Amino acid sequence: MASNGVSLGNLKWYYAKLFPIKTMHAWLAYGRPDIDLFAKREVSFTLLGDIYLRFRSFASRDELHAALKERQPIKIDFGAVYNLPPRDRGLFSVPLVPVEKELVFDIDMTDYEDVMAALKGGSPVDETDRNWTYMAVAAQTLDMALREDFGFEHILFVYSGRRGMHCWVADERARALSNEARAAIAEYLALRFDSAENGRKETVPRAFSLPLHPMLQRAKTRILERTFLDFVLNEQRILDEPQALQNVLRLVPDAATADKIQRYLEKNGGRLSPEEKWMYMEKELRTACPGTAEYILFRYTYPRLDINVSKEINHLLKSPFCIHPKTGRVCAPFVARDAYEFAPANAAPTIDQLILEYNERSAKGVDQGIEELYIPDISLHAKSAASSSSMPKQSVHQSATKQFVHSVMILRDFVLGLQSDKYAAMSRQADREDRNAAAFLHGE
Amino acid sequence: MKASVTGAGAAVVPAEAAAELAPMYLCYRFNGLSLSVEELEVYALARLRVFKAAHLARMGGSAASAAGAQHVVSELVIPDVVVSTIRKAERDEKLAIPRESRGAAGENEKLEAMMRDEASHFILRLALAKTQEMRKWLIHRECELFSARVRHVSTGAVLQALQKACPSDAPRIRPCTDAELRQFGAAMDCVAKGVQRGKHQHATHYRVAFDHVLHLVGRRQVFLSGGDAFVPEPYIHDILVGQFRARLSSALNVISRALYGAETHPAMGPLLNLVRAHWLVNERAQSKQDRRNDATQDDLIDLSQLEDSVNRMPLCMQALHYKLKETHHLRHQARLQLGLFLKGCGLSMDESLKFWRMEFEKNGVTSDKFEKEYAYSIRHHYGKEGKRKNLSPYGCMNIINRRPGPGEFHGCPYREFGEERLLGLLRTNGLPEGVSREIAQKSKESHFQLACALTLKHQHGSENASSPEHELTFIEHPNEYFIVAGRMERERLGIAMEPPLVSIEPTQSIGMTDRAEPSPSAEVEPSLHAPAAHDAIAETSSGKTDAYEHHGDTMESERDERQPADRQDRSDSAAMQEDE
Repeated sequence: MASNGVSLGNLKWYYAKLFPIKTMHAWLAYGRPDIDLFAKREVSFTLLGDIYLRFRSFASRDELHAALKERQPIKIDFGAVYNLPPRDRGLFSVPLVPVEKELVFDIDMTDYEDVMAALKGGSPVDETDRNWTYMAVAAQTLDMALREDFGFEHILFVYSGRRGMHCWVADERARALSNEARAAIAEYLALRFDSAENGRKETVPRAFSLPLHPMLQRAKTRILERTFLDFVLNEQRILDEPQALQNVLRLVPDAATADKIQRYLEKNGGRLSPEEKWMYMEKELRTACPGTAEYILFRYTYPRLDINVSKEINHLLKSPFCIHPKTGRVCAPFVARDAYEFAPANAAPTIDQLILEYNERSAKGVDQGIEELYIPDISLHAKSAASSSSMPKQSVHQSATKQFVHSVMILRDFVLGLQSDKYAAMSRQADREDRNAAAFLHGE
Repeated sequence: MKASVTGAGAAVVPAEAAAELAPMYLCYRFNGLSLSVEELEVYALARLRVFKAAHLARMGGSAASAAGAQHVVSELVIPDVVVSTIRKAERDEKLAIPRESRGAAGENEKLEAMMRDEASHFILRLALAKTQEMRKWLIHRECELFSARVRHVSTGAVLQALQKACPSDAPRIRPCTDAELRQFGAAMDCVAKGVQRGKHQHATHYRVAFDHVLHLVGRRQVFLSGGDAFVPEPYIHDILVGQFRARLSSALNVISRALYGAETHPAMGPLLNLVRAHWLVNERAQSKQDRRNDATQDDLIDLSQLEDSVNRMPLCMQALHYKLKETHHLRHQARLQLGLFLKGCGLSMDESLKFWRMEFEKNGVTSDKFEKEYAYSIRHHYGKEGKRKNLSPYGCMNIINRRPGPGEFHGCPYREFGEERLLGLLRTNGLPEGVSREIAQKSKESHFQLACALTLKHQHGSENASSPEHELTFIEHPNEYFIVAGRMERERLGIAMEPPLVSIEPTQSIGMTDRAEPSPSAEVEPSLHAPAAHDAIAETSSGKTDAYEHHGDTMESERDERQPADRQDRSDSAAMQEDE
């Protein structure tokens, strides 16, 4: 099903007919004239043969669209918005300085290798599909903390096409964050887990000294506990297979307790359900080494962020709606609420399927792009757009195209949310300019 | 006065006095007063001496006492002993603003102190805005001084100072309402329990935008809701220090771009150079025990000697070396840690490329793939790619703080390894069981750098040795460890030491000094023998300004550095998001 590699001819066709250029542009322009933000955004292309083209920028939507069709990048990345169009760097004596960018996160299935047990193995894509629950849990946990702790509202999750997912936080406040603030947020959200190979630790990490931080406690009670019981114990079966059990017991700092648990499970393991085993373990650990049960639970469920991606304002991140060159899958946006249902094997259409369905359509004489056919207009003037339903223009009958349209609609909802915020933001901006002018006049 | 310095039961300072006692230096208030160049220099030197005293107190405290582990944590948390040292030093140097003044004479004295304090601050601002290293140093020191000054100021006074410092965009700080306490009280208590900053479970909490307390957010030491942090009262001081830091930092950036005027001023230019020379001497003197600065040809190795030198490496590098030999692969952070260290040990770029290629090929990495995916970053370490910034080998703090995740092997073994694994590694180095236990115990107490020094001493030291190398009790840099271990070995074998090279060849000095400093030995050496900087005003003419001239060479590269995005390229694409 997954194609091996993507041909350039297909990509050209994809960029011309399917890539939702209007919606993407509406996002990156943030309702402002192109020259304010869009034209100053760093765009980077990766061409076939690992050729990187960095510091591109495009004055308009049409210019970007034309470049996509002409160069057929196998990957598109977005960087920061700079003080001047990145392609013009060096023309002026002004250095290129990043001004704003979404707060971004990256989570990769590779970082979960050490906690997978029964569902481990197979090709990278198959393994991810089987273990998607990790990503779903990560999306929901991250989403909750970003909203409740930091007050962010405009959050987009995107499947990365093969092994992981990305998260974009696009609130005005998030885009303006300094590197220090990004680093602090990333560290607040990320938990550090030791390398298993470094051996038994004398203590559990400090993050798990009780009581837990409210953010962790909330994640535990609302999301992680359930996942741990349903998925980690019953599907991943970490307490049932000897090697996996060893890995769990290695996290217990007290050797005597670990031995006791192991002996008990060896003796009675056969007649106990995974839940019963865990209940026994939890009980033993609660008295012998407090915090360890929590440590195990978090280690097996909590999102594993690659925080280096989040820390720097000028870090690049892959655009939604790229085609992953190895799987042919669309990097489709999804909603945290529906993250479990978003199984990439079904929910992320492949370019091959989309071609097939396009050919069917064009055989019937329909040759328009996806956005023209199905996606309601998103331009700012269509003010009613904000209130218009999040339903496609017309109903879609083909399955891959339907999924594709659905994921464009998710991006569209995200953009509409930003636009409804825009009027409030504009008045704040005017306010600030007034204040700065006043401060300037008073010699501040 | 005395009591307030030692801290216990300090009198609370009235609000209006806080801004006076711990000025934010929003502007220089003695413009009408004319000062001679000599006076300005004396003030600047006095301030440098206060900073030096603070630095020594901190170092002494951290090496000798249990505070060792603490300086990993935060510069905002200053041990009491450092605070009292700072307060004493600034009184001795007449920079401290007296708390109370009696009569006209007292009032005069107070004004005088304020003037000296401000003049010295602004002169240092001008002088040390020049390079990134200087700016960083000054910000660090000034914040420490400021923090010591506000230590015993009341919360009310701090809030008022914040209001005064930034009337237009003052951090929105307000006490928690009862409703908030009812709603979030339990959550706030959960956070407070993990914090060691005294008993403030029942202290008042304040609500403030989270980006004013980033250090607390990053360590998850504060409760957050809707973008606001609920900060216990004692932390309000940190917000003020944070504001101070932010203001000073941006002021220095502005100055650094507009320095030309001052540099070319006939009186100011030489003065600034003089102050920088003093600064440089001080800095060198403080780091003179850092043996990376006087490395000789003997201390360095080439690729053919690498295998024989593994036991001279500190454990953090040994562990990576063994891992590489075992799996023929290391992940990015580990490659950085080991690769830069080897560069500091003397491996040339070609040798490094050869070394890594040899290992990776054993893992089935083809020459082509190596060239594409790894060679670039190795050339990058040597400043031959990308921003062309010559990367320095990581110091201990850097290594200790870069913690490995699952599947990663970099970091400090004394911190990361479980006891068994650490003991095993010590055993392979031939350390007796008793010593190993002692080292493991030190590690357990978070004295990683002390533990490392113990390893060095017991592995390479000899009983009756007297060389200064044997006094090292605290490792600050793996390359320092490597050099000292080599010297100890040679001493044990009775091989005579060569005198330090007069000037290190560029290829060898690569990475041997932090930052892009030119070779320090030749030019700075004379001034090291001069009396301590503060007695040497008369002598500061030719030699030191020369040293400074040379320093000027590095300005270009510094400037490049400040334009981060300008020349980024594939080094970033390499770090770019990929979902492999």
